[in-house]
Amino acid sequence: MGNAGGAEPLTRIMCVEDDPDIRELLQMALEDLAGFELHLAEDAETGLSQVQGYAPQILLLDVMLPAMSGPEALPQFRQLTQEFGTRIIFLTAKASQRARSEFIELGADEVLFKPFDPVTLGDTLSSLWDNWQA
Amino acid sequence: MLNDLPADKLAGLRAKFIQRLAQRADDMQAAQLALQNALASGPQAMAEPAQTLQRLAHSLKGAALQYDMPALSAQAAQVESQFAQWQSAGLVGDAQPLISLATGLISACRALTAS
Repeated sequence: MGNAGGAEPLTRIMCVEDDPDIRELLQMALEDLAGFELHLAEDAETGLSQVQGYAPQILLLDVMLPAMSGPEALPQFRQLTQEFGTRIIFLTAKASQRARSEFIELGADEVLFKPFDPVTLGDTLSSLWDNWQA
Repeated sequence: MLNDLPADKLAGLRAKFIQRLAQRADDMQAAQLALQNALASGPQAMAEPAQTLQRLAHSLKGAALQYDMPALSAQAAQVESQFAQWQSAGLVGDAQPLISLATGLISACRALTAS
């Protein structure tokens, strides 16, 4: 992903989220407010078909998705993004430490809870990214 | 002025969310009708519409909370939870209370789009 000696800033995010109202909020938060390049997919299958072409630095993955859930799709997303070093973050409404631990055990790099603050979401992702790069 | 920018944008998205409640109501009603039609056929036939209703309620629960509508979110959470429990139990027992819960949620969505 980045050069051996330098940290790469966060610029490119992909979100897999089936709810159109949440997708619009994510677009506002991450594209309009935070200025990231953003790619949105509305289900896991679409996301899986597009993730290699987009090569996101962070993949924000909703948990409950139609047909294939976020946790079900995680292994495939991990395999497809291995060469890019993509960090995968679950976005879930199950706000508890237990739920967080379970999702981390499944293989996510981090878990964020809904409802999220659209004004600060970009900063949150940037901070996580900077910590991972350090 | 710059601080107003997110608030204006958020207000615009919230208005869109409320408008889209009509589509959510339509989708839930279609799943509810499919479930009612499947009642006589047994759990296997009921599984998909029940799962669809649960997922739609879950989606609405999250979106309503995100757009600062906690009462609607709580109502959707109740529908989601009841359907999840019913599915865990193998879709046995009287489905009518659950269908009535879904009716209440659908009505609530339609009332909000009408106001």
